[in-house]
Amino acid sequence: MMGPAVVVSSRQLPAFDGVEILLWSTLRLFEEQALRHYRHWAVHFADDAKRSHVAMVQSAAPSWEAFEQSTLQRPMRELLDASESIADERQLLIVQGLVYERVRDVIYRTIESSQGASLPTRQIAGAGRAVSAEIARRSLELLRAGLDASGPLFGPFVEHSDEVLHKLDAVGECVDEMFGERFGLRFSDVVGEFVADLVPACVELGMDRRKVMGHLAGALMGL
Amino acid sequence: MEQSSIAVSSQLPADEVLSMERLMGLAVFGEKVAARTYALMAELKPEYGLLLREFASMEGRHGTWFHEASKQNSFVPDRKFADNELGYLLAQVDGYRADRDFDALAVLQGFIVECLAISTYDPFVEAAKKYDAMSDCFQAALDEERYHVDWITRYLRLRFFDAEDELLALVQRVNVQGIDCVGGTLMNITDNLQTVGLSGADCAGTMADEYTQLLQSVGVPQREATKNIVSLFMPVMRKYRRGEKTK
Repeated sequence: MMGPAVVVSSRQLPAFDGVEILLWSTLRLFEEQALRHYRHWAVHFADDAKRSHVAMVQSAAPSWEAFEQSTLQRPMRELLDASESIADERQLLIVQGLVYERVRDVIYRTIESSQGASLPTRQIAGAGRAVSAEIARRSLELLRAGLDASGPLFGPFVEHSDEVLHKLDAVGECVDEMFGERFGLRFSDVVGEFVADLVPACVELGMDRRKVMGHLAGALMGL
Repeated sequence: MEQSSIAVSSQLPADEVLSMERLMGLAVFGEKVAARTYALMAELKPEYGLLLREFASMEGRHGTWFHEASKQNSFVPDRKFADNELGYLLAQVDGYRADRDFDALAVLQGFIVECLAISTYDPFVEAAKKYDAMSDCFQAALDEERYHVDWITRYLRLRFFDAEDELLALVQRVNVQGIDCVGGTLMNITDNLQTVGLSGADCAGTMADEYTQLLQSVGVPQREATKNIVSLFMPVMRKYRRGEKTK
């Protein structure tokens, strides 16, 4: 069981070491895109909890220097480019709500319980986990509520998640290299947890479980 | 089916012939490995010996049917390709046999290997209609594989009744090598499956999902099963994406 998500204010943050700054820089990019998307398409998700978490992440990674020099920079930017353009609220709920918030939830869960992470990093991760899990839950509710009007979701889910999942694996290779040993953050495990969370959610949205698995396999195999 | 609609190997594109010969090699010799594994399992548990020897005979017959169907279409099953894929599996089977580990063999053969067979035979029944006498024998084999899986499911449910943690530990232990090996083979034949008209992604998704559901049916929580299977599939899928062979 995870501890309570709380807790530090950005003014209390200590100086993190290089690996933690790199971790938070990566998550900062990821979170800032989410907040941008929410402000435009779903203001209710850009609430105090999300905004204060993003501010905390920004404080933990105040400069881009380490990130820009790392091998993570390119695949991470490619991932974010693949999801930058959002055309409507449904796409937002699929890309951010169904996919990315779940990925972030798993990442935060892993860091929160990592013995290799400093206490402040674990506390920020705990807060991020709670925020991501809540938005993922609310996104699922909204997608389910809109099913009658929007029609079957499998097609849009495939369309909007394919490129994102494909690019995610390239980020994963760098994540393993940089954060695997220190934080126990290994992409195979992240994807295992993510799929275990995602598939029941897709089934709840009326998608065929086997088709979802086929889509995920294809996207991760680059087919 | 009318004779005119049947494909003749000499008239097929070279890549289709190559793919069919690899796939039939794996099917013919893979069935023989399955026959051997069930026979070994019969030795380890004499109380189920009669039934498991019958399973071995059924698997052997599948190999014979596939060999005959290959011949009828002038495909020469690619033994070298099959041996390369199956060597790793044989080593895992022999290790469990040496340890007299019947339960590990049940999970490996009865679930993981059978899931590979089911996930490829099932869509191939339709795709194989363009070849002579191919579709029917794959349908018959598929039905019998499902029968084997049903028995293994019943065995594991009884064996691990009220022992979920022990079952989960067994599955996690077998999966580490089993998914690397059998999932790896699936990645290595993905392009061949695509060439003969199947979706490699659907086969991979079906294999993972079929196995997850089987584990669920014997008492492994769905989330645990999915997480474990997918995390072990990831490295072999990554190798496929990079264009690397898995073994």
